[in-house]
Amino acid sequence: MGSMGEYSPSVIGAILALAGIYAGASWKLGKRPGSRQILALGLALIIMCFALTGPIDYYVRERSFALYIFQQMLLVFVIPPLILLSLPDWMARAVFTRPWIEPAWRIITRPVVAFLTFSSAFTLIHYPLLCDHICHVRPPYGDIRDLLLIVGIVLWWPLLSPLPEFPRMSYPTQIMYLFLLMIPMTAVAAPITMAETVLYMFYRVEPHPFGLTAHADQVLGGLIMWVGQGVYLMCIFTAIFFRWSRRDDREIPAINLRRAADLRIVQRRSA
Amino acid sequence: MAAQPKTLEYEYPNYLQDPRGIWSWLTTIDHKRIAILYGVSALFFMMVGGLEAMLIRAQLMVPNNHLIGAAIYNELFTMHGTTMIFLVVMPLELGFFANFMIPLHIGARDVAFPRLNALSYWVFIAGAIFLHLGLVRSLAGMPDAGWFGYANLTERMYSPGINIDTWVLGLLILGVSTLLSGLNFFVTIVNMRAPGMTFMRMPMFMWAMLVTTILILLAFPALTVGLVFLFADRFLDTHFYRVSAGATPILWQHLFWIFGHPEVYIMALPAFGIISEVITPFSRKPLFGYPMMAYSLVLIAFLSYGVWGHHMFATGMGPIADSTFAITTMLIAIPTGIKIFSWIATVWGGRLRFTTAMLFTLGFIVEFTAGGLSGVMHASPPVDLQQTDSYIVVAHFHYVLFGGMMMGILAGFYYWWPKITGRMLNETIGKWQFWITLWAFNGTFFPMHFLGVLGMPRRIYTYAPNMGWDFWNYFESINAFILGFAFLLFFINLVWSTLHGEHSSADPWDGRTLEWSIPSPPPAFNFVTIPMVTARDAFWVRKYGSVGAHGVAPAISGGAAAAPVGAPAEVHEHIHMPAPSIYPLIFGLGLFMAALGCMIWIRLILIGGALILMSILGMVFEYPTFGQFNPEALAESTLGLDNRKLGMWAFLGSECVFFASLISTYMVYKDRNLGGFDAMILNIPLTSFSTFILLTSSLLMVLALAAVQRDDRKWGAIWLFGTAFFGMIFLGGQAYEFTDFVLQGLKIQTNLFGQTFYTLVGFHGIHVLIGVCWLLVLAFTTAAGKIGKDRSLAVEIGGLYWHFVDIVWVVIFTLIYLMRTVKHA
Ligand code: HEM
Ligand SMILES: [Cu+2]
Repeated sequence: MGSMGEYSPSVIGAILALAGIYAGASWKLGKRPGSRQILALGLALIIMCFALTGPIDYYVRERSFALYIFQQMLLVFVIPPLILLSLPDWMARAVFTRPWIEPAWRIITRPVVAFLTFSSAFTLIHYPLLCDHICHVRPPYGDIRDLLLIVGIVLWWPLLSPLPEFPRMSYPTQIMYLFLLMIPMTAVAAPITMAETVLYMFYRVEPHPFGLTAHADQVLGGLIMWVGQGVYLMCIFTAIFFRWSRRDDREIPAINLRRAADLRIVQRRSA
Repeated sequence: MAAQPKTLEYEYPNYLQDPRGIWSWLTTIDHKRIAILYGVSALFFMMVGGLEAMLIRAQLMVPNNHLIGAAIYNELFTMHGTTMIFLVVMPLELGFFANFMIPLHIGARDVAFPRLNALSYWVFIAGAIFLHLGLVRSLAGMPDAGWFGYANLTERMYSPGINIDTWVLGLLILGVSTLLSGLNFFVTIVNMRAPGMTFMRMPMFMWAMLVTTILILLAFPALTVGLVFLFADRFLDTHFYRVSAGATPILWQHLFWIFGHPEVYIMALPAFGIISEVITPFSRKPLFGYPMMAYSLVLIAFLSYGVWGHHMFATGMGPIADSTFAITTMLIAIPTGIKIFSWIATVWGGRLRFTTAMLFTLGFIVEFTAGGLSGVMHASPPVDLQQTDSYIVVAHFHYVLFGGMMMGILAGFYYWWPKITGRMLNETIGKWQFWITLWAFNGTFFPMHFLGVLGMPRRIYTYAPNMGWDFWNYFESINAFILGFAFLLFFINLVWSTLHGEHSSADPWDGRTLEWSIPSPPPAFNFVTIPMVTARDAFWVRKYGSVGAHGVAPAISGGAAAAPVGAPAEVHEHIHMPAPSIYPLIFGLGLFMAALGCMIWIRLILIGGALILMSILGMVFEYPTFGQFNPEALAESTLGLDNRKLGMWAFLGSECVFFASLISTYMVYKDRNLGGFDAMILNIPLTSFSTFILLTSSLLMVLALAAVQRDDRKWGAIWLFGTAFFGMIFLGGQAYEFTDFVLQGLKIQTNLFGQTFYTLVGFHGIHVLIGVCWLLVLAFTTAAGKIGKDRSLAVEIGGLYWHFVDIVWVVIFTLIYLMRTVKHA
C-alpha cells in the first residue's frame, strides 16, 4: 500500500464534502452557526483526517492492531460528540424532524435502544470471525468506519442531542449510561487483552510495526480499548457530574414546583 | 449534650413497642426491625469471627506450636475471613446501618420493597447457617480453602469432604441475599426521596449507599457465575477449572476478582459514608467539598471494575497487562485521597467534640490511610511479587478492613445507637474501648509488616524457631488478646447501655440530617408527615436557618428553631403500613432445604423448591393490591415511576452481567476445547425456527399488554396464553435439542464445549421456563377477570422480563449458533 506520507484523496474528498454540506446547509437555511459550533466541526474534521489518513491509516494497513483500535476509539468516542456539538438546532431540525426520519430516529435514539445498537455493533465487529473479513484492507473495511461513525452518533445522541424536541437525558442518567457502557466495552476488551493467542487472522502475519510481536500488539490494542476509553469516559462523566452539581447548587428551589410529584404533594398538603 | 431541642411527646408507640412477641419479629417487614435482626446476627458472628482470630493468634503465638494443628488452622482462617466479610462487615453496613438509616435519611416510611427486605434477611440467615453446617458432622468439616477459595484446590479431587460444598452453597445463598438488598436499596434511594431531596441534597451516607448498591448489582453476578461453575465441577463432574480437560483454574480468579475488587468497595464505601455523617456534627461544620466527595465515590466505583488484575500479578499475566492494572490501581488513590483530604478539611477549624464516635472516626482516617498506602505499594507488580502471600498483605488488608471498615462501623454504633434504641452508649466505656483498640490494633497488625518483609508466609499454621519471627508473633498474639478484650468491653457496653443507659433525646448530638428530627426510637412509620427538604443538611437548616450556620444552642436563641420536621399537629394523614408476612421466612427455609438437598438427600430439593414456590405465590397474592397502580405512591415517587418497574430494570441490569460472564466463558473456552464435540453439532435450522417463535412471542406480549391496558380482559388473556404457548414451543425445541445431543453422546461432562454450552443455554432456558410459568399465572388471572387496566402493571413487568429474555436469546443465537465456525489452528 501507500507510504506514510500518502493522504488518500477519497477520504479527504469525503471530509471536504462534509464541510461543504455544513456550509451549504447554513447558506440555504440562511443562518449562521455559532462560533463554538464551527469550532467543534473544525475539530471533528481535523480529527477525522488524522484518524483516517496519513500515518494512522498507514500503520493500520501495515497490520498494527493497536492503531486500528485507536482509530476506532476516535471514530466512536471523539468525532461523533464533536459532530453533535457542531450542529445548530435549526440545522438538525431540518434533517431529523422530517416525517419519514423522525419516528425512526426517535426509536433508535431512545437510550436503551441506542445503547443496545451501539453495543451490539461494537461487539460484533470485534468478533474474530467477522473481523477476519472486515479488518483486512479489503473493501468492507471502509464501510465499517462509516458504520462506526453512525453508531457513534446514535450512542451519543441521548447525551448531546442538539434538538429540544429530543430532550437529552438527565445528568444522573447520563452518568449511569456511561457507567453501563463499560460492561460491553470491558466484555470486548478484556478477552482481547487476556487472550493467549492472536485472535485475528490478518494481524497474525509478521512483521508488525514498532517492533512489537503480533501478540504484544494485540494486548496493547486491547488495553487502548479498555483503559484508554475508560479514562476518556471518566473525564466526560467528570464534566457531567460537576455541571450537574453546579446546576443543583445554583437553582436550589425549595420545592421544585415544576416537578409533578412535588407539586401534587404541596397541593395535597394545602388542600 | 450541646443542643437539647424539645422532643415531641409522640402519641405513637415506637417501633420496638408495638407489636410485641416472637411472632411479630419473625414476620416483621419493618426496615428498622429487620435492621435489628441483622445487627444482632452480625454481632453474634462478630464474636464467632473474633474468637476464630484469637485461636489463630494463639496457634501462632510460639513457634512449633501444636495447639490446634494444620487442618483446623486452615478452617479457622478460611472461616474467619469469610465470616468477617460476609457475615459481619456487610450485614452490619448494609443490613444494619443502611437498612435502618436509608428511609430516615431520605424521609421515607420504609424501603421500596419491605417484604423483599425481610426475605433478604432470612436468606442471609440461611446462608450463614449453611456455611457453618460442617460443624454438625465434625470439627473438621468447615470450609478450608481460604476466603477466596482458589480453584483447583476446591475441586472434588483435592477437597473431597463437605468443606467446600458448604462454602459454595453458603456463598451462593448469601449472594442472593445481598443482591436483593442491593436492588431494594437502590430503588429506595433513587425513587423514594422526600420532596425537595435532590441527589445533591442527600446526606453523604446516601451517596455512598447509592453507589454501593450499583456495585452490588453489577459485581455479584460474576461471583455467582464463578460459584455455579465450581458447584457444577463438584456435583456434576464438569471441568470448568480442571487443567486435564483443557480448562484453566485462572478463570476462577478472573471471575472471583471481577467480583472481589468491587466487593472491597462494597465494604469500604458504606464506611466512608458513615464517617462522613459522624464527622460533621462533631466538627460543627458542613461536610467539606460535598460535590467532590460525591464525585469521588462515583469515580471509585467506576475505577473499581478495571483493577481486579492486581490480585493476580503472580499468575503471570505478562508485562503489558501487569502495567495496566498497576496504573489503574494507582489511579484509585486519587479519589481516595480526595476523600481523606476532604475529611481533614472538615475537621480543620471545626469546634470539635471528642465523643467516642468522633474518636473512632478520626481513628478510621488515620488507620485507613495507612492501609491505603501499603495498598499503593502492592499496586506495583515487582514489589507485589515479593509481598504477595506474605504477612505484609495480611497487615495491609487488616489496616483497611479493621482500621477502616471496623472503626467506621464502631463509630456508627456510638453515633446511631441512641436513635436505634433510645439509649446512649456509655461514653466512658466507649473511650476505654477506643484507646485500647487503637493500641492493640496497631500492636497486632503493625508488626505484620515486619514479619512480611522477613519472609513469613500467610496461611501457615506454625513456623520453626529462630527465623527472626518469634518475638513479633508473640507480641502480636498478646495484643490480639487485648484487642479481643476491647471487643468484650464493646459487647458489655451494648448490653448494659441498652438496659440501663441514659435515655436519649430525639437529637442528642445536635445532628444535621433528618433522622434526628424524629423521636428516638422512631415510631413504626418513621415520619408522621413526610418532610419537605429545602437544602442539604435538611434538619440543620430547619434548626438554624442555613447550612453554614454555626448553630447556637436553640435554648439560648429562643428554642423556636428546634421544632422537629413534621409536627404531628399539622396533618393526620391515614398512615398505611403494609402488613407483616411469614413468607420471607418460609422462602429462606426453602432455600436452605434445597441447598441441603444437594448435599445429603436429593428429594429435599423438591421439598425446598415447593416451599420457595409457595412463598413466592403467597407473597404475590397476599395483598389484594397485587399488580395495582398505586397513585398515592406514584405521586410521591421521586421519578414518577413505579418502584416495581424500576426494580425490574435494576434486576435486568444485573442479569446482563450474569449472562455476559457466561457468554465470555463460552468464548474463552471454545478455543481451548480439547477436541470431540464442538459447535458444529448445533442444529441451526431447528434453532432458527425456535428463535423465530421466541421473537414472535415478544410480539404477542406487546399485544397482550396493549389489550390489558385497554381493559380488554378477554384478548389480554388470549395473547398472554399465546405468549406462554410460544414460550413452551421454544422450550420444547430446546428439550429436543438437548436430548438429541445427549443421545449423540454430548453430555455436560464430555468436554469444555459441552459444559459451557449447557450452562449458558441451560440458564437461559431456566429463565424462559420461569417466564412461561409467570405468563401462565398472569394469563389465568387475566382470564379469571382479575387483571384489567388497573393491574396492567403486573403484565407490564412480566413483559419487561420476557423481552429481556428474548434479547438475551438473540445474542446467544448470534454468537453461539450463527457464528460458530471458529477454532483457529
Ligand atoms: C481481632 C481482630 C482480628 C485479628 C486478630 C485477625 C487476625 C487474622 C490473622 C492472623 C489472619 C491471617 C491468617 C493466616 O493467613 O494464616 C487473618 C486473616 C484474615 N482476616 Fe483477620 N483478624 C481480625 C479482624 C478481621 C476483620 C475485622 C476482618 C474483616 C472485616 C478480617 C478479615 C480477614 C481476612 C479476609 C483474612 C484472610 C483470610 C484468608 O486468608 O483467606 N479480620 N486475620
Ligand atoms: Cu483489589
